[in-house]
Amino acid sequence: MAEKASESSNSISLNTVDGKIFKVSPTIANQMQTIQSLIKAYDSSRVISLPHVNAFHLSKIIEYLEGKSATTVSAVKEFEAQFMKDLSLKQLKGLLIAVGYLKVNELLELMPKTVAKLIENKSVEFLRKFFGIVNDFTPSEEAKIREEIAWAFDGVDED
Amino acid sequence: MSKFSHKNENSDFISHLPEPIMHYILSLFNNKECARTCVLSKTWKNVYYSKPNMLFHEEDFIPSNSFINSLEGRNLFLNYVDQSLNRAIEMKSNHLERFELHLTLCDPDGIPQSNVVNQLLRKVFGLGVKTMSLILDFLDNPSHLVLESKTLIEVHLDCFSFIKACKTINFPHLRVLSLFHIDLPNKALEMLISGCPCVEVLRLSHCSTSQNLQLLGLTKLVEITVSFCRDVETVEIRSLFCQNIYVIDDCNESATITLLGCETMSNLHLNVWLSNEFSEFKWLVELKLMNLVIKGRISSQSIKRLVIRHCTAETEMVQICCQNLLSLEYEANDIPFHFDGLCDLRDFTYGFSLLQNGRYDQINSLEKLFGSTFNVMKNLKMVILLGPLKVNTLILNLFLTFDFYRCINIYAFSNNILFVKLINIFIISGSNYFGGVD
Repeated sequence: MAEKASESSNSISLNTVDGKIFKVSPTIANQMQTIQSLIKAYDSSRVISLPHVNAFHLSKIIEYLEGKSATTVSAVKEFEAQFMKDLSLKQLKGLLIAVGYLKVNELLELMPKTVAKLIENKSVEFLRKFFGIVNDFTPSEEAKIREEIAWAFDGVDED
Repeated sequence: MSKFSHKNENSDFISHLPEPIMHYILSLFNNKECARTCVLSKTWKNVYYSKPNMLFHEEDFIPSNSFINSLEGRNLFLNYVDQSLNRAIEMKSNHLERFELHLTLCDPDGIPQSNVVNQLLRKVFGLGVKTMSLILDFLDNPSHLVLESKTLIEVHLDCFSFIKACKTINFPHLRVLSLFHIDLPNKALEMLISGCPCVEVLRLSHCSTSQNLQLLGLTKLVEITVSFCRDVETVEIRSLFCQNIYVIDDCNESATITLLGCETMSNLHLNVWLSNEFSEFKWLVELKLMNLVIKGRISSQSIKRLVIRHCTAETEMVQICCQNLLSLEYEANDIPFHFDGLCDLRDFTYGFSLLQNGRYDQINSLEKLFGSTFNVMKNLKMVILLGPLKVNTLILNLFLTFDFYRCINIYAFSNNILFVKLINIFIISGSNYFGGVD
């Protein structure tokens, strides 16, 4: 037991829902608040299982945290932009949920900002099409809501 | 090319994100943009109306070039606020973090009726609001508003007649209270204080109060700011915890202020002269004097940090006697002060601008400032903040005259850029003056 503890004292093992084990350094693990509290609660030599996170998402999170710590301050913006650009819409969603579960604060700030940029200054029709949002209002319901918030459409060109 | 444009991935991903993330995304937008999202679908509408931040600003709602009668416009706006609150209540979301109601398009016809405001606030309190900001132009009904909330922690009020319009105030857990442009005669102030007994931070700005500002019931007060309240002459505080007192006034040179019962104060920032002796305050650690006329001696054994910015003196030479001073910041071209016994000084920041004729007469003033004690200040770190510099050689002249102390670190900045860093150079010959040029 003692041997095992010393062996793994420098890295923390994380087991994803699809059964892949990741070994990460404590500095990386501590940037995920959920894991940080799990480490505190349990013996650190134990493998921590993450029933809500798959290997792809965890690898992306680790890639971001490791990449960022290896990047100089001036290049962080570029690194983050590239990281976000490499994700597809579908990946973005899954990753955002994983990030929310693991409480990776830096990504919890960065990712919604990216999503917000996609929504910003877009017409309702464009957003429905772009994100595949199903309009579940009846035409009269929608007209009523538009009337309620007519002020918000002031000065906006609808297409 | 970004993969965002791939059409085959268009299964609605965004509507099924966890609600807190959706709320965070919405919080990144301005109010108009945010409201537009509720047309997208039922999910989005629910997310919009359950937002933890409900911010209603009249200037968003009524376009400035609108021809709508302003009274009509205001009523439409207040109606919308009411509807939004009703929606939030229907959804049983009782986690309202922040509520803002800003009626800023001032118009005498557009008076907010006290009972409308009263009804809105009742709903807001029912939603368990934690912080609230109200900017109203006028409330017509005195002694009408009933304000009761056990959840409120922070309140910002800007409305001249607000406190007079209150019938009851009961915020037992309120910690931060900011009052702007409020008419606060003693009676109103008493009612406010008894309704908010746990206030720790109190800010009064541009309020009209009585000359003697008595804040007696606030036993938990830690910080008080009194700014631009012209009538205030004395401030009386009876709190064992009160540490920070900031008094800011427009530059009325004849005004003075008196502090009563502020024994535990440790930080004091003033830009109006204090009639108390500084030595009264046994726990005073930091004193900041800004843009004021210094009318007497400054003497204190407890002050560790002193900041004097753009102050003048009533007499030709003012004695400053703070033997235990560790840090001094001085900014102004003239130095009508003399310091006694500054043996422990560790940090000295000195800011001045270049005189018209290009000379730095300040160096002589520095000698005057410290007198003979400069020789004993072994570990002083000195930072010089210069005004905009044009000619580099000027600084050389400046340092050539620095020959009255040794073993001191000097950093010179101009326009916030480190200009020279000079360490122990004064015992080295002239050619090495710029040995540490950065």
